[in-house]
Amino acid sequence: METFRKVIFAVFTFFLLLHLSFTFIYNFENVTTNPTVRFVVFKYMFPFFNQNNKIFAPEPPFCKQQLLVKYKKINGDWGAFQNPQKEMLARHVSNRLSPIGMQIKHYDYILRHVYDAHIYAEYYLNNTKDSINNIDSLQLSYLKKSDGFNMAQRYFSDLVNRSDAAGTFDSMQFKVVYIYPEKFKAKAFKDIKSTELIIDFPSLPILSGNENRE
Amino acid sequence: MKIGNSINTKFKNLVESTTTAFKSANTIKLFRGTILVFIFLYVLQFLPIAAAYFGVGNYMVPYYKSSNILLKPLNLLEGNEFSKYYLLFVYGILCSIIAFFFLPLKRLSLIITYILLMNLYHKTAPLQNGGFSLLTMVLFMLLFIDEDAKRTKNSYWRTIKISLANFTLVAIKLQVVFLYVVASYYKMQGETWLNGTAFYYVLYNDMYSHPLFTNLFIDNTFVIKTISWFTLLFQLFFPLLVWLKKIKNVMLFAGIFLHLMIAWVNGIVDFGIIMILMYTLFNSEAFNTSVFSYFKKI
Repeated sequence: METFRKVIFAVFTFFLLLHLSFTFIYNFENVTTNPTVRFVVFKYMFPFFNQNNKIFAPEPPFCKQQLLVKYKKINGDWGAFQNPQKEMLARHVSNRLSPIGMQIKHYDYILRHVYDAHIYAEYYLNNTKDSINNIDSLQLSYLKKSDGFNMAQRYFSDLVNRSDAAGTFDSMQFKVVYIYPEKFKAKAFKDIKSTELIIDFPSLPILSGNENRE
Repeated sequence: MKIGNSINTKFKNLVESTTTAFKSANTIKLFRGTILVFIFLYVLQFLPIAAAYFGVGNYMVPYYKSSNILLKPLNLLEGNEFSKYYLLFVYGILCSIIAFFFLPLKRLSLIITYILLMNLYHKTAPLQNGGFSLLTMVLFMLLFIDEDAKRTKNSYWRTIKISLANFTLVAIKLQVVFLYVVASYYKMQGETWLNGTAFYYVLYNDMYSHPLFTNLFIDNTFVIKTISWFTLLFQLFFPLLVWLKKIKNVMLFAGIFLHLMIAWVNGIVDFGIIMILMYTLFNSEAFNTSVFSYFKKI
């Protein structure tokens, strides 16, 4: 029995060390670039030991980002840009335990997709020739190739379709704003200077409930 | 010669204690119980908004491109086939956790909870943080721990089960510690954690800050630098100091403080709570036994 215990101890020690080594390689990409090793490690780690431990590392986010949206009435009047996340953040501050935290993260996720679609569209606008002359139409056609952008269009269409103003709007427009504060100079919040990066998007139609389900 | 004998005796004792007794039964019961209660409450509060993430026409974009065969049963909600049944997954988790606490076949309940939770987790993976990844990983490892292994009649099988429980517990603890190792290592590669201004950028970002703290401290050099460096130093030294009996409790209290602040100030509540729950594993068995007995009375 003692020999059996020693064998079991040795076997489990081996597996523990193997698991730790794989975890180490998975987390520290510069340990090895050998594709075979990385393939084996990934096959072992995913999906049971998948992990993301780079919380606010190597740096915290250097800017705050906002996804703004404005809607156009059927009579042609545009409303002002609004940021639905602002109200979510205020609610989250008043109750940290509310599920609104997930909705805030989700809003940020939509913003990232809209931004990614913009990068994609910009690349194709600059690198391909197309028969469409209208730049907005062309940009929109590239944006619409992105699943993330289409999801954002559905999200904001549903938002307005569910509101009291449903049916009074026919188009919308996104704007993404990145606000970078100056480096730390021990200034009060209102005195901190910032630079803004603003990305405008072309107007796009509000989808009806049926189109959204499709 | 004496040193050799001493090492030999210590090794024998280590093999003996690891393969014949699992001395953290109540720690595991308490830890697993609190983790399941957390998951239950997390899923419950998710219920009113779940359709937006899992239902038909949800607002998530397919995330995983992997054809990994093991991923499929854990990622059924990725496509549209199961979207209309998403409530089965959500209520399934709630029911399996209730079953775990009140019915026999606890391991089966735990396996069902894990599979269903992984399906929800994978669908919303881009929205989740490192804490929830850790939680799913730990829940998977917990499937291998049988705290009642000593009751197994077959002596060989008992040895295997006890050893598996002991080694898995060590693996879970190391996984918790590893989160800090990785986080601190990568923070050291940046600039702002080292010069002490990282917390300034966190406070400036309204998504990760509380207006009260922003207004009070964003212009306070002492607070900004102290919190930035405290966070970095804590993550750097926790993996080493938590194993030392004399200083362990100081590290755990510091960690609880840090994670409560992350929950309240940064608004990353799930991460804060999950990390605090992980600390249960580092408490002594005697302490966890008394806490477990208290909860049992309730």
